[in-house]
Amino acid sequence: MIKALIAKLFSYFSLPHILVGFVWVVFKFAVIAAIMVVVVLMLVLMERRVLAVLTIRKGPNRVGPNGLLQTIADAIKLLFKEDIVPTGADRVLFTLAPVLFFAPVLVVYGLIPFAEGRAGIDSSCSLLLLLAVSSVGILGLVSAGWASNNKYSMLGSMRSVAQGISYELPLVIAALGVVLLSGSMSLNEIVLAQKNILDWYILPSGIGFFIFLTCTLAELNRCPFDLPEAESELVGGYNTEYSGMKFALFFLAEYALLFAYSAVIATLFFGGYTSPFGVYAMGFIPYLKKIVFVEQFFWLMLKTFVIVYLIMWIRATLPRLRADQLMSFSWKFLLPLSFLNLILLALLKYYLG
Amino acid sequence: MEFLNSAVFLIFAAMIIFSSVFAVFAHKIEYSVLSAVVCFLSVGALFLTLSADFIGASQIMIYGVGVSILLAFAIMFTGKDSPKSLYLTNPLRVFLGFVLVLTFLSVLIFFISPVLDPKSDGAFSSYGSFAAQIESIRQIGTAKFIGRRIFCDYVLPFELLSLLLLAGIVGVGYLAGGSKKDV
Repeated sequence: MIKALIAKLFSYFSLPHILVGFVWVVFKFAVIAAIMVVVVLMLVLMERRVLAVLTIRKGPNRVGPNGLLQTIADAIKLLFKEDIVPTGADRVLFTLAPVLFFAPVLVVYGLIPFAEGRAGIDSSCSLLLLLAVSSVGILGLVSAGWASNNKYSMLGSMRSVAQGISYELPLVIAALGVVLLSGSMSLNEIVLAQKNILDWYILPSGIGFFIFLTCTLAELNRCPFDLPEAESELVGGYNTEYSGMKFALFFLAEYALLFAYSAVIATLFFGGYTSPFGVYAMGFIPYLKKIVFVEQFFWLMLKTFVIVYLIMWIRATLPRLRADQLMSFSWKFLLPLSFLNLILLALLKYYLG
Repeated sequence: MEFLNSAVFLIFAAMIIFSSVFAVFAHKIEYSVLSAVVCFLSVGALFLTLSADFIGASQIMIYGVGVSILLAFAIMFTGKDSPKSLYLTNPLRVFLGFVLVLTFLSVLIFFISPVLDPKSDGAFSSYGSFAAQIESIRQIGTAKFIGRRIFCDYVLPFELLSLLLLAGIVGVGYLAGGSKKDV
């Protein structure tokens, strides 16, 4: 629809038609980036408010109506802070590291199908591509830790990276269970295979959901796995030396990834953008039929924010793990469990069709 | 879209060339590693522009993340006092390197040029138009097709590969667990 509009505009102003594809790509990118920024601004506030509610506090409620503008105030504060580069630091890598951490997140957003046929990047292997791209960000952590020229940053980044790599394996294998059930690696087709609440893959693959959620918490360095940057016990993690906008970029990317992983969980296990009832309310109304993608977007957002709430709830509830518990939990418990889950799903698929 | 695709292809091709040249000539070994990573990722992106999504994603996952993090770990934890240039100091090495590159390039041109020639009946021309090629490649990229190929047609190489991985796991287990006796 919008692509046709762009093409019409181009022919109206007699611009070269060859650029339509380019403008279309830029448009998609802009929409995805806008979704990401808005979501992150909402998430930061949501996290503070939800944690406040769960720990019986008030939370930020002074800036703007009911505290809604708190995040924007914080963002402006971070923007105006001095941008410090430590003396011994490697200037180029120190500046590049936040970008390296942030850029893959945008690609991940591009791969999530927000409505039917409305993913930024349409690919037949989008799930695999998403898992691959989302782990490219780890390189940003390595270079941030190294470029800071500070042993605490280095150790912090080592902790983050070791944790990220260990929990990547059960995560991928849990996702593989869903690939097995749906017979496709395309996120769009995985969604279309679970059109109502009885087809949701959480029902056959409940263990897979548990593993995926746990590994997501670990990949995001969130409670109870937040010991890489446990601010009350250690010098912070890889971002010890960072300040101002560069620190904000790490912060932004972490929250953006929180939402992205939640959206992936919603897509893999809870039917993504489809309605739980199997039919869309907007599908019955003649004029709204054409924009049924708005309702699909609404369903995806609803499911995603429920999972985001679950993750925040876990943060407010569970205490932090110890470092050795963390590693043995991944390698000795989650990994065998994920293999078991895969075998069970294969048997289920073989005998029940 | 074809124009855009080839433009992106050319950009990534240029990135591969520049990053690999930079990886050789960079004065810090950490920069070399990171530009090698850029090279790996660009190769993955090249596959993606050619609609070979599965290979592209695997390339990014294995080389862009797995191998490169191993490289980065190994060098950033050990290479603080590494010599500035490892290879370009020895003239014999430089000479041999050039000979090797020229040989490889000529072999590559020898094998690729008949395929790219539109008149010959090389591999590309038999698939028909560009759109038909893309469509056939899309069919190849699905999980079902890949699974069938790996576990039915190519099951022997696959099992050999898993044997190699098993050997790797046993070796790691030996290296990691063997030190307990010494302590």
